Amino acid sequence: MDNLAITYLFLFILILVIVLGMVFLFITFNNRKNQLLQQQLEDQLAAQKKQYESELNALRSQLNPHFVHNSLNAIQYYIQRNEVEISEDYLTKFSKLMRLFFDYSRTKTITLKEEIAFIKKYLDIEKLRFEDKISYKINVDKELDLNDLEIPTMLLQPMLENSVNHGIFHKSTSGTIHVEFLKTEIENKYQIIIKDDGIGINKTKKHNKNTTGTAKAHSSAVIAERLDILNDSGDWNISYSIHDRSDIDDGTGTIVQLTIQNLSDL
Amino acid sequence: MIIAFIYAIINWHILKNTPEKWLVVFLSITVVIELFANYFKRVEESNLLIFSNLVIILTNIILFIWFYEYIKNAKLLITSISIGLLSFLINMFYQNFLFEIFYYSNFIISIIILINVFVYLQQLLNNSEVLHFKKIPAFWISIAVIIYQLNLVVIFFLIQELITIHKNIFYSIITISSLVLYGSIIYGIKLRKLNG
Repeated sequence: MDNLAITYLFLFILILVIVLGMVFLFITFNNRKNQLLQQQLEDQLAAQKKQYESELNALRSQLNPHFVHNSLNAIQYYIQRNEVEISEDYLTKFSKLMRLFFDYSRTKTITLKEEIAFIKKYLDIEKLRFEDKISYKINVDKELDLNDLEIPTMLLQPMLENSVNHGIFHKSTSGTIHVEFLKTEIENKYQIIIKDDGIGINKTKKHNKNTTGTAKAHSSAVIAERLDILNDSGDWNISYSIHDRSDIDDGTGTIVQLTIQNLSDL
Repeated sequence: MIIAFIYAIINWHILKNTPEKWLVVFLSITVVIELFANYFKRVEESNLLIFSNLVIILTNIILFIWFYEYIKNAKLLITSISIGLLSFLINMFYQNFLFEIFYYSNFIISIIILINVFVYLQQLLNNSEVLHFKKIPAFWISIAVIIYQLNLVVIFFLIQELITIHKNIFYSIITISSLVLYGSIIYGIKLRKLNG
């Protein structure tokens, strides 16, 4: 091989080394960049999830004062009337419920069995408060596995509270709340129907317009916001609808329909 | 080189508070010394090569300082400058400072510069700034420095004897390497101008 050929060979090797080196460098930097982007995205998602959880906690705790205020008012009412037994009974039930309330406020989910027991306790207290002006029925589909299926904590209580305070409260006669838990064809998905025979959502809206009351609107907004956050979290798929029964059939009152699917189990 | 120098001077107001101010110093020194070198070579028809040696030592010291602005490693800076100067001094015993290019010293300085580049790139790789590495002036200039110095190491020292026979190849490679280096400096200044 002559000098020129060796020179070209050396130069070719040099150029090859430089080109390959540059390609390697860019691949390394791009990989590292993608790795960091992925990491940042994961951090962002974790932060978002944390934010969702704190918002949910805030919303859960937002419900407490409303209920506590009403219940304490009722106990005060019985004490003022000197009805010791009823007020004691009320106070015992209330304290048990409050204990559950605070226990559940700290957890994200409870089983359907726990939720049903909880809403029974809640409705019992409301029955005491309204002096049997309220009755309730809870029907559970026998095929539902109450110990296995879960529900976000404090989800139904504000809806029942709406039925009581804004549906039946304004009714002149006694009222009934029906709560149904139904199985769907999809595994891990169930339906809940809360039906009352109160004045209905249309009249409640009119009533709220005529008075300065915005509690119902606020409570509904809190429910909607919480459901949005639960759906956005990716752990739940919850659909929610609320209708005046007069818009659907000849009945009066409000009907709330929920279908709940726990996605975190899938 | 002249274009890079003019471009750097025009953008001095942007560069003066950034590490790239050292590149302006680098270009200024190179231009001034090259002007002298050309004057002596063309007008005086002198064989003086002191200018090449001055360019090698001064510009590389400036580059060490420029890398220090990013790496922030005083030990590396002091070691780099010390070894550079020491190699230069030792070279003086073997070659004539006025009439010969200090090849050995240049070789050692090139290796040290390459070490600085790799330390910088390693730091960049472990830094969150890697997310926008294509917008960092130092990244592009470092790549050009690698290309330039690798060419220098290989051509000047490893195949010097072979290549001096074919002057046109020698000058072509040096010209292309210089174009890459000064082109990257212009691009780096432009990035600094755009991204601050």
